[in-house]
Amino acid sequence: MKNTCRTLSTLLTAVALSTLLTACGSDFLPQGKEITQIELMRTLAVDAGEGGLTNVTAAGGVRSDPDGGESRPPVVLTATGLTVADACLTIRTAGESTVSYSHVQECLIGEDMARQSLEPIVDYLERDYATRMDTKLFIVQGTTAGELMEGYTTEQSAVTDRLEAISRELPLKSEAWPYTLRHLLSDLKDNGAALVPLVALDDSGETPDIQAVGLCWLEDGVMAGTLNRRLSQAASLITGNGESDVFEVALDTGGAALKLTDADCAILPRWEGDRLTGLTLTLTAECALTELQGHNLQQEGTALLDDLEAALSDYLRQGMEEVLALSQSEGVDFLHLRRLAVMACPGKKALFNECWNSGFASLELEAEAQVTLERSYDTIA
Amino acid sequence: MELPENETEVKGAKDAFVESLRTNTSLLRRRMRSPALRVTEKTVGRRSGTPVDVLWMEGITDQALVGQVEAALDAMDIDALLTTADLEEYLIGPRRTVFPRTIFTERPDRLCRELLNGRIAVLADGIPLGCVLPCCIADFLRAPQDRSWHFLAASCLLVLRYLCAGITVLLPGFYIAVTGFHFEMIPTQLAQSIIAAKQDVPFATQFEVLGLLLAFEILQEAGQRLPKTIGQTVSIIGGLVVGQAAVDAKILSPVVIIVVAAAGITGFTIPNQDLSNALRVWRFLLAVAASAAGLFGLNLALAVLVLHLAGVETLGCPYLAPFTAGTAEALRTVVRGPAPEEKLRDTVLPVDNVRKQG
Repeated sequence: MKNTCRTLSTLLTAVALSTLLTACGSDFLPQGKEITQIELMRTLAVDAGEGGLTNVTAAGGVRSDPDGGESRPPVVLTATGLTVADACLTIRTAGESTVSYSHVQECLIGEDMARQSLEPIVDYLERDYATRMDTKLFIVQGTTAGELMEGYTTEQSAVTDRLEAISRELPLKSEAWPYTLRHLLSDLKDNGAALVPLVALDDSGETPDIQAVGLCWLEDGVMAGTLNRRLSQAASLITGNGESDVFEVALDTGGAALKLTDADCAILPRWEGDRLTGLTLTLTAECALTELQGHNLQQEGTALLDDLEAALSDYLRQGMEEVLALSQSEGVDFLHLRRLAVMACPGKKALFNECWNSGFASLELEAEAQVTLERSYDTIA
Repeated sequence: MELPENETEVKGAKDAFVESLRTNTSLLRRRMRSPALRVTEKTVGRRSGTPVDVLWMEGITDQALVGQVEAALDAMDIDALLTTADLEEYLIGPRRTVFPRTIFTERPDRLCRELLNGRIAVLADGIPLGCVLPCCIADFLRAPQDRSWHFLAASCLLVLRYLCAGITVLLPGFYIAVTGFHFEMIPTQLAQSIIAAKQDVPFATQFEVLGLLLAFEILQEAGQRLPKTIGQTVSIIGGLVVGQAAVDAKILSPVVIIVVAAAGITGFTIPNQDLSNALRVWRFLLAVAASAAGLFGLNLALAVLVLHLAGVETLGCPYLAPFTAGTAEALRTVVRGPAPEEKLRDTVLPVDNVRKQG
């Protein structure tokens, strides 16, 4: 054993050293690079160019000076190519530093590109060895993705920082949720439909800002429409991605602001024998009273709370009914109701899928909302 | 009687071996009053005539091992036995490894414990250390206080020492590999911090790390050679002032200093200085391998190291013995159980009596 190990280790060392004499050139060993010669790109923006070309804009982050001096502005590079990969390669070979896409965390897709097809960009991100499956995706509304990137980037602000902040804030306002390449691939594989967060450049203030403006829905990997704020909220609640937001409800006189603290949507199929007749979506939500206008809780007591619960329940139910009606009218299950509902009847999965495929549009989709006002800062006698 | 200088223990005995052989054997007899403690006296060195005692426990120690040690002493035809290297290199044969294969301890209580584990001790007049053999790598990572402290605390510290041993030998090479070849592995914020810290530094990462490792070794050596009163001052000046000055002058990046300092400090947690020295040498080799081929080179060098260790043995006892004897034995090596539950001796050694308590 001792001699065998000694022989093996000697052999390995000799093999390793002899590779230097093989004249295989510098290709045999890995090529090292100094990390300071690498420009880390943090955000990609992809737009449809003229004549079927693709425009790609890549931006890095703000580079701070460790000695406390002025920070360096983010690098923004643009290139046009026949494909996304071609344009990215053109960017990589331009400039003094080596451009690296291994730290790209967000990908902005222009609306023009999204309405043609997301397949090229999805394919590139999926296949390229450097890009990540947890790259967050956003579709840009109103401007091209490249214009948004160049419009927002200044010496002190980088697109990646703002998009990271938006991703963190999205769960606070049940309009959208962080959506990654992994989610998109899963949704496209399921039925070709998806809901992707929308962002837009807001020029109204002193400095340009990027805002989240709801969701857009995809059909067969192509952007087909957008959801306004109310429908986006309803979609988030149905898909289980919304647990927090502030809803304003109006009463006969005055109104109130209710903060959603928890929400859960149960989707149950309805059967008549072996025939699937519809789905019942039951949203159970908890909220807290944050503002009250035109009423006095001490005087009105629990009756007021019951009215508020009923008002919010109606509001949420109507939103759910609208987004369900839109999904059925367009014939696109962008809420992935099939995937959510089949979990309730695993023993009938094959039958469920058969009934679903034969007529999604003819199913009766019922929505119910039950809101419970759990907390209020007033004491009720 | 002397106080132990290098193997101090808060809750343990405060006596240590001295240069007189008779005093040393009396220290052992005070702890092991059983007549089973056998002592064979030898004389080594034509001109020094140094008395050497071989100690073992009758009924526990394998007699074949005792025979090998006595035969090795009898075969020593030298002028004088004056240093530990004279003893060690003749007892266990030519050294083709930088890793230590015997333990030299200044604590009588530790020597007694090793005797009860079936090992053989050699004491030489004029050398205030006891030589214990055969040993495996796990023995060099145990500290005297492991038996004094609560078994959970001792186990955590043992695990920590193993981790530190891994960090001290792998960290510089891993840093070179990741920053030079595999920067995709680095989290984005950390990558940006490293890039920002390394701006305007003219040297390549590999050269920075290897140069700083060398400077670290020079500083350690200088600190050991100087008198204690000056040595500490030199270490502080070298470490803090020169290091800070190098960073301010943009000769080195602060990240490299952190990496090398972390590798050096984790090396100090190893109780046995000989093992620590061996890991220092291999640290350089792994860093060079990482410079050449990134993680591929680092893993190749690590494979060579593991194969090398697997081929090392002392008196027939493999160096990696506890980790090749099965998961239970490896767990017993890394984690110390409660003393009443440790019924058996180390099974890595051939012993006549495996059971050590009822």
